[in-house]
Amino acid sequence: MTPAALFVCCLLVAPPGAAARPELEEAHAHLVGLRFEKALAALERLLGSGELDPGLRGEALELRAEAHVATGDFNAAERDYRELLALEPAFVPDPSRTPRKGLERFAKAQAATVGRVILRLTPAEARIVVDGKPTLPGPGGDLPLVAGEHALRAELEGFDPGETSVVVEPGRARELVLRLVPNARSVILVTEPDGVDVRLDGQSIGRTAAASGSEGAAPVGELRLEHLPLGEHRFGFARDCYRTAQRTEFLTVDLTDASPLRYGPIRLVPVRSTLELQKGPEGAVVWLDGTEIGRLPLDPVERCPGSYQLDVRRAGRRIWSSRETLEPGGTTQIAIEPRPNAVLIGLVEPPPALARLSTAFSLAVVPQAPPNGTLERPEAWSRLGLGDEIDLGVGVEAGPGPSATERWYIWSPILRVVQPVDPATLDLERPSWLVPTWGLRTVDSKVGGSAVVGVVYERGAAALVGLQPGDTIAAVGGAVVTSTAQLRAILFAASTRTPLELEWREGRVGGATRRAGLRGSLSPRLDARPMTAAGAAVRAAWAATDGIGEDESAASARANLALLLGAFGDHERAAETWRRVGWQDRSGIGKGTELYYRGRELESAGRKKEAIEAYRQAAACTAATALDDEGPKIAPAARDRLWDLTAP
Amino acid sequence: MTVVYRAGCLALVGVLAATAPFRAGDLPSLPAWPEELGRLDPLARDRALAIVERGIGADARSEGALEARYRRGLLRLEPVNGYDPVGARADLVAVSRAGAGGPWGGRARYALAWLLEQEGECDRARAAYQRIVVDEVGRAVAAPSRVGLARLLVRSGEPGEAARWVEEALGGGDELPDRVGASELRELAVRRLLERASGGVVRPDSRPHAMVLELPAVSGIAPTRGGGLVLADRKGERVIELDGSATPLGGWPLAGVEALAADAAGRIYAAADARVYRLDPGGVLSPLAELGDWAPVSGLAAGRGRLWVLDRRGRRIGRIDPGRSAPEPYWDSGAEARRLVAIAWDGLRLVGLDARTPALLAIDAAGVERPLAATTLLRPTALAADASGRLAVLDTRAGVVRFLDPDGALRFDWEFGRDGIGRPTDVAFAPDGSLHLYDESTRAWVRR
Repeated sequence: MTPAALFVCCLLVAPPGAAARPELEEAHAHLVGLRFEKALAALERLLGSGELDPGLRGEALELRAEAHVATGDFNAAERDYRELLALEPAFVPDPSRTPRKGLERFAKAQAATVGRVILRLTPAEARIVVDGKPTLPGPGGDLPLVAGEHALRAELEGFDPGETSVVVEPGRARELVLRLVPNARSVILVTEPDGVDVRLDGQSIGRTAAASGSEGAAPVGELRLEHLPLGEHRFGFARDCYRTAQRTEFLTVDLTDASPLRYGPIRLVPVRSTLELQKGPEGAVVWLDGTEIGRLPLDPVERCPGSYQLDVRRAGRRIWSSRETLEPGGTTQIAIEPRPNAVLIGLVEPPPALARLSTAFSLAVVPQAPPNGTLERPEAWSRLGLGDEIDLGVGVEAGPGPSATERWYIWSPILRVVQPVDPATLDLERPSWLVPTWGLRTVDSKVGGSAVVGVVYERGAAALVGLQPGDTIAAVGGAVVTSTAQLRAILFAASTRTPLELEWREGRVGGATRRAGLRGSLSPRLDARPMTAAGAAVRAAWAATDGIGEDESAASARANLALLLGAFGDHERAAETWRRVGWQDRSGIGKGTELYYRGRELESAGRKKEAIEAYRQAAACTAATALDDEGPKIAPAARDRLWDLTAP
Repeated sequence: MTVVYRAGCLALVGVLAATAPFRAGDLPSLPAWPEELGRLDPLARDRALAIVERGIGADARSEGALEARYRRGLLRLEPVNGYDPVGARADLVAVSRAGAGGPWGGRARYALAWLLEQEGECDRARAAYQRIVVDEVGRAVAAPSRVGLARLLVRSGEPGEAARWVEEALGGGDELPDRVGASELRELAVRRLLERASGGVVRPDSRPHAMVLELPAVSGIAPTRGGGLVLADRKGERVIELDGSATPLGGWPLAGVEALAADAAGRIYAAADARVYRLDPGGVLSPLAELGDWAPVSGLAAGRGRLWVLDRRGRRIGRIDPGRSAPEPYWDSGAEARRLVAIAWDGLRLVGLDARTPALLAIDAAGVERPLAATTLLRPTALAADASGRLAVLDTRAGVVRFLDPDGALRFDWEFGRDGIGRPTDVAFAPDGSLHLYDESTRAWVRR
């Protein structure tokens, strides 16, 4: 095969690079088509334009050298090789595409143009820059360079850069040793267990991951820190359920050992906290960070130290919600008392006058105040997306104008009312749903003196110790009784758990002075007095909270909630709430009471037939009372309402 | 705009009389509670009605309209010509329904209960009061309703319960309407309570208290609230009002007084000169009725807005209903040939004292008599009854005042001679249950 034919075959299988310009493609096509004159003409134009980048220029020179070899112009080919080696000292023509004479002329050009540096570099992966141009040495550190003086620079992260100059003689090789000096070191932190969050000099830098090969043994984790600057470093190690550890190291280099330094294993000490819930309604479900952990009463539970969201729910209602911090190794005791869920709008925390919101309520906070004029409308509160478990809202707005004072509002989602409120006068205390009763009523008069017993209730505490109407109370609990009002105050505040010492004079002629221990009882208490929307809102929140359960107090709370609903015009819900009160037929507050009040709400709701039936049943409960066990009788009131409803 | 109340005449000055809208605050003389009825004469009542009519506008459920209608209902109950209990009831029922849960609805319900009580519907009145006590806790209407309930309880023999409710009315700090008489009712209830507790034995500390007045001829006495006394001085041709220490407070020039009586609200009435007068504050005599051939009378009783007159022979009783200007025949002895010497209202019924039998008669609303339990009377000359039904009969021959239960049973006797009383001429109970009499022999006012 002739050189030209060999050349064409090689071109057919090795097309020029895809980045070649159209002119280069055109020249290449001419070469493939053996139109050497045209190819050379095209390459001359291309190389003569002076606008080629070095890469394209190199390709063009290579093509032209091949064209010259193909046409037998070896001198011209040698000139092209020299020019090409000046651009790419490492250039070598493809021997499969280049005839022997062409290779000889290339070797001649190379010997006259290029020398070699055998670079001995430590570390070997350092980057080499020759005359400002990144250069990759060949195998064995072979670095062809155009003859002359060159600036060499070696760089690697974790080392100071090394620089030197080298004079290369054409056709000769020389060895160059370049050793870089380290200025940092990689570190491998080893922790037991794994998954430990690591802080370096106060900054979080990662978490140790399980090291391979630690399966089965104590879980060990590693974190590799590359090229840590030399000097003193403070490491922090933290993981839930372990005591936080600190470690300070002074990092130096070992010129003989550049491998990463291992710290550890740093063994973290496990630590636990105990959460102990006290009181609380039996059966209530306890949730910790959204996970159900049991029902009350609950044995103390161990948890990792930290902050937890504690929720207690009962009958589908959240009765407790708080954020609790469990201290390492400590026991956190919490007395669960069902409490309303409140929200504070417009402040981060309640002002001192409303401090009870934080302590007596489960309080959520929405610090951002809505636009002025929003909080005075109940529907605006409903649109705030506060959830359906809120019992009470308190919010503050800046007043209109630059000098206006802030305006406070209270919102009851239960009663669906909003009212402006003065925080200083808002009473947030839990109401008492039961009231002590002592089985007697007294009266003051000119003719009879003070505290004459007017009424003694059958089977009441007073009757049990033998008190009779007409007797006079002389002293109670060691205090001389001077008026009915004073006696009432003492009895209202007295505990029913222990007998109350009572002294009285009998009303009969020749009657004696007697003493006995009076043991009171607790009666449901209905507070039907008119109250402001603010007072009612607080009361409704407590009633909704305390009304869950089966005991007397819960039933009374439900009844008071029903009263409030009725008072604020929600008669259907009030009637339904009365139905759920669950009082039994008994003397005093009982089934008759419930029927009467339920009848009132049914009547107000326009359900006349049901109201009449309720009144009829209430009228038959002759021992039923209103307000408390010693209150006014229900039956006559029910009869009066029946007269009204059934009158022609 | 000014309203001047003087001597039962409502005088309207300024724009109020013609075109101004109704504002109750401009009319302080309007009755706000049923106990305050009886202060307006017919002209003033009519003027007031014209004013309140303006307030009953298109928005019948507004507070202003409810108040106006409530006040119209009360004005219709003024015991003057035009007395209209049916219209009043319609107004009050309407307000009680439209204003349920509000202040005027509650007041209307109270006025309806009061009206039931006036009409003798005691069970219904008691239930109505009780309903208010249950439903209107903490409202202004609760306190007078407790008193109303107590009034009925004390009359039905439950003084302890009655005392309890008055105590709660007085101790609740609520303002009670004028003339509701809560304090006196409490005293009365406690008296009955203590009597019952002691088995009817008079306590040692209940000795009579006498004050010499030096009045030679007294033709009637009527105790007042606060422990005072109104008495008719025949010789002086006047009626005198004394306070509890016998200091004169004022009087009314009225000659020939034949009888005096006080009603449960503390108003004093006098029969004289063939007329019945109401003795209003400030010495004002308000003629209520012409007695015609019922005059002269030997007895006068007042209760539930009505007056009863006993003719001189003791054979006929006439009744003067609210708004009526003359007595209507009420009771006649007929063939029984009775001779009543005194009549008294005991809170439920009229009681007559027949000197001929002698016996006590209870006369019901229809004028039908029923003898009370036989109690030995020798020469009964005077009768008193209190709101609890307690009766006191002055028996001059026996020298006692007999204290009787409502059924006529003797509770105990008071031998007044032992207390230095020689010739008592009249007896009367005060609203607080104390008994008052005038002793001609010592010219003393005696209170026990």
